[in-house]
Amino acid sequence: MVSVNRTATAFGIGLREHARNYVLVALLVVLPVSFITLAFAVTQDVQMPVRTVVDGETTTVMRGMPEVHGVIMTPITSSFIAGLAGLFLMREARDTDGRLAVVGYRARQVIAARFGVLAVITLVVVAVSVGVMLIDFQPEQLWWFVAAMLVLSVTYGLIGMLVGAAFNRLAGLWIMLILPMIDIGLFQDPLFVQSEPEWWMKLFPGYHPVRVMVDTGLTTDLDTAASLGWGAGYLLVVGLLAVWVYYRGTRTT
Amino acid sequence: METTTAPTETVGESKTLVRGNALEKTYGSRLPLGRSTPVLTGADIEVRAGEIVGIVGENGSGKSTLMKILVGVLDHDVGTVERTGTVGWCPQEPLLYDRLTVSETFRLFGAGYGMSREEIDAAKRRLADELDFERYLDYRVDQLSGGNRQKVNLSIALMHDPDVLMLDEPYTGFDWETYLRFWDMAQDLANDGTAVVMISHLIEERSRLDRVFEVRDGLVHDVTDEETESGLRSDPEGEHE
Repeated sequence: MVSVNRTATAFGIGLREHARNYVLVALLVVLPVSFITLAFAVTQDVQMPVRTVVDGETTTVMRGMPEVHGVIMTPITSSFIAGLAGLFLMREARDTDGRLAVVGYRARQVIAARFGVLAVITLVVVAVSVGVMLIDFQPEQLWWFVAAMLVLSVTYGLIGMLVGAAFNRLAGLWIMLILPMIDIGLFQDPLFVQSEPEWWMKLFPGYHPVRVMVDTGLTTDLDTAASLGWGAGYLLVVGLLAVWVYYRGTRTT
Repeated sequence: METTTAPTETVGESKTLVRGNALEKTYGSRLPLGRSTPVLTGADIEVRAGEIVGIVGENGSGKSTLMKILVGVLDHDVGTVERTGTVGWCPQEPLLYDRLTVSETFRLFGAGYGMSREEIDAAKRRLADELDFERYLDYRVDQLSGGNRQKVNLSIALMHDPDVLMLDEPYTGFDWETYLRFWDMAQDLANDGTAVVMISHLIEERSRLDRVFEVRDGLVHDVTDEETESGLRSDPEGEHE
């Protein structure tokens, strides 16, 4: 009972604390509109060749450029905000959460509360980003698209935590700004990389989820279910690493 | 490295509540060729119920490191720490969440101590009254002055009536009245059997301390009956608003 009470209290108060992070709230309001809506507004409606998977084979289909931008800019936006949320969470918690251990919180209670807060923030970020996207673009298979968005955004939230453990706030901010841009917006963007990406590009967190998003956003059949599984596996590995780093960093017992 | 919470023996009338034996701590560098800094090289310390103990020493001598090891928030490399009963820790820099209100801060830490809502509210009211910050209970921590933030920092360490109270320069930023009230509180706690361990710099405090330990050359020296090498500052300038 005490354990549940501690976890629930730390989770509830943690949510309230992050809701008062005005930088995060401002990003949540400003970024989806400026990244996603503006991308649709300024992109010329011309047909472009897009690399995707059809019946298990990598192939090229013709799609409108705004649609492709929608598929790419939406995960960039959510990954960026989720990554910053993870960064802020780790930077702010790593000193003070150690005091929670001294007053009696167990490691699992603090970890459950902190990762729970990150999960809720990521859900909100994905909901807002997809909601803004839906104004201009409807994915062919919405729920598979959302599933891939969740996998990618949570992964980036956890990467933000790892970056927060290793770098200061400013350096972390730059890393979390640049990483989703070059990963999702360059290496995985089928407009930029029209053939199969190089092996090292596939190591980035965006590779598998973006394959799913391009597939389910622009075609009517799901041909990339395995990629969703690989993306979930990537998320699991990053998650375990984040838990370990958090545990080490905050010295909870 | 070893830490236990097993009861330790009674010395005379007073029970030993905290004991550190042969503690060693070296801060390593993150860089491969960086310099390592040995801070403690075999420190021994023992604190008994009902006494107020001062820890003194030059800047960088390892006072805060020793206290963090005794509290359990920092790993030691070698040696053992034994603690009995509950511990309250007031770190030098207030470790609080900036965007929480003072009341929320009490709730968060009170839940950690295993206190009920009623117990948390009672402790909050009592400490806010004693340290004079009732009107700031709904303020966010980042909206408080340094002195009021320090009062909250101290209150979090006190709210569960600990058996051992570890204070790292707890009066920084206090006004004179609060400073005197703080000492009354510390004396009352000691009279009730709480062991109070305090990192201190002020010579005025020496008469209030039952025992004084100096951290020097990585070791802990009992200097209760002698002048410390580093000396205690006689000028409290900058410590009190």
